[in-house]
Amino acid sequence: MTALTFNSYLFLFAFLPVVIAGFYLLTRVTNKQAPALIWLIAASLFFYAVQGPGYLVILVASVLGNFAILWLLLRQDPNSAGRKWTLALGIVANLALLATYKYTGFLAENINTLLGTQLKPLPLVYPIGLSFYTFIQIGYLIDAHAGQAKRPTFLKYLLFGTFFPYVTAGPLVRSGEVVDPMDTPARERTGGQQLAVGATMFAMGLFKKAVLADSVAPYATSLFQFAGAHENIGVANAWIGMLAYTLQLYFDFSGYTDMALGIGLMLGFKLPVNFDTPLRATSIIDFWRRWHITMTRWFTDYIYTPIAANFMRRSVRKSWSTALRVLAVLCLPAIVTFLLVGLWHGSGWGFVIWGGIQGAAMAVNLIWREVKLRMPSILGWLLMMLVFVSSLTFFRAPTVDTALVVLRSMWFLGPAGNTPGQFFGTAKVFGAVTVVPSLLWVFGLMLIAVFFRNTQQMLGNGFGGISEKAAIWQPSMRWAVGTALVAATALVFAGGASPFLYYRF
Amino acid sequence: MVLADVFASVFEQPADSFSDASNQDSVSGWTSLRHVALLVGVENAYGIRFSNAEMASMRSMGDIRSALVRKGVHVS
Repeated sequence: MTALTFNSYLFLFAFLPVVIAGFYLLTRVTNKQAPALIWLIAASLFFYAVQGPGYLVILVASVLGNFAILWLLLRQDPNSAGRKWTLALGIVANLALLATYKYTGFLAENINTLLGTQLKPLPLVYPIGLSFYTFIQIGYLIDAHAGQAKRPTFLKYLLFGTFFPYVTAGPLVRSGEVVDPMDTPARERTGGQQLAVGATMFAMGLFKKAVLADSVAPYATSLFQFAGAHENIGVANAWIGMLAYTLQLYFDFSGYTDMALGIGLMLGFKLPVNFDTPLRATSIIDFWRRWHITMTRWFTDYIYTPIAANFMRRSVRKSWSTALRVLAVLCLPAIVTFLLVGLWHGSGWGFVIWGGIQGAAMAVNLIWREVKLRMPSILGWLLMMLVFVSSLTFFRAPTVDTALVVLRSMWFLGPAGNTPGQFFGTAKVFGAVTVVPSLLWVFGLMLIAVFFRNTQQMLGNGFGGISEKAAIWQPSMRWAVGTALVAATALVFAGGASPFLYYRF
Repeated sequence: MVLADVFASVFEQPADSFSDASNQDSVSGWTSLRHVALLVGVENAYGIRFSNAEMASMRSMGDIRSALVRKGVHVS
């Protein structure tokens, strides 16, 4: 697919070192901010251009279009109707671009099923990251309209819209997190400590991706291949395979995010944290506060809050009954929000069902919390895991049919299967290790995901390293050797054709 | 009308524990649902209405105060 991903040797040994070296050189030889800024923009455009043919045209069109709308919007009087319409135009244009590339195939398929027509999907290739940079920019427009984001210069906006650490898979930054730091000269935001902490974070991320995530991936792949062929699976194999997928998704995406944040830090930006040990969450509400945090934040801000507030207003004005209030203020906004979260991930019924399950679980959890019921943490954790891992069948499977095969097996409704040894016989960890240690490996990864300190906790939650009390990171020989070992191991396993899972979304 | 009083009643904490810097990360119990209750509470207290875009973009007491000021409301 693409050659220039964070875990490719081309990126690790050529692109990233050159970009960082050039950036530090430019910020040290001149006091002007523009050269280094232009350098990062050029690097970002190059990075995106090589992801796929024609992708750059779409990114540049999107960023220029959004900047034009932003410029138009900020010229108008804060309370004018014109400003409101400009915002509406901006949101519609962004969603139209996204829908054209992401949802027309799904739409055509459903119309064909319903009406028996023969519509063909548009012959378009989905450009990596479109969901991400579209939503980031919609956020900017809404914040600017509400007076909560300032007017950027053209160059600063160009970097905001295209910055390579997050353009392909997030985090979904807010305007202030990237544009505001640029008020401080880059030289003051960068230096030895940022390089050391950033590189450590990057190494940990690469290790999570190349060693941890990629090692359990074959289990998930095997499970869904057998399920797709309607072969007998059995309860144990279904759970082992689904736990492997859950861990793969977690280490893949949180590894990617660590790398993104590490690069950001080395280049003088503290990008927002995306994961906070989510698999330790003790409820589904808690889980969504810890998993893909910037996405949850986006949907909470821009979708959930307005919907829930409108219902709450109405419920007060019209004195709704308690039952109706619970339904409209607690349940409905959560369900609608998570259905959209599902659709944002991809165009298919599997994603809608997956989102619907999250929404329904959130609604139950919200009611539970409002009536102040309690349950032991361990039970809460178990319930969270059962719901989330089960729901991931729809997230991972190519079709709803395949997801149901796995789900039935997980919940004792499918036929008995072979022993795990026979079932996963061909899916060997690291392509070599045999099955019994592999099962221990899944268990071991689960322990790491639940009990280990996460990257931010090691490096300081604001990932400032030694300046933060919480951090255990030190610029010491022990940390240097440890990080070098982690990086070396990761580099041995990196470089293969293993794209990040979130590149699809 | 003191803005911190609305905060105090929604979060059940003393009014003087809030400042313009108070936000979802610094105030315990500032859940997404309480956030909505807070915004609707502020609307009712000052007799104004926030637009959807305003509601989506307010994340701290300072944000809410500046949104009120933009609406010409006198806030103390």
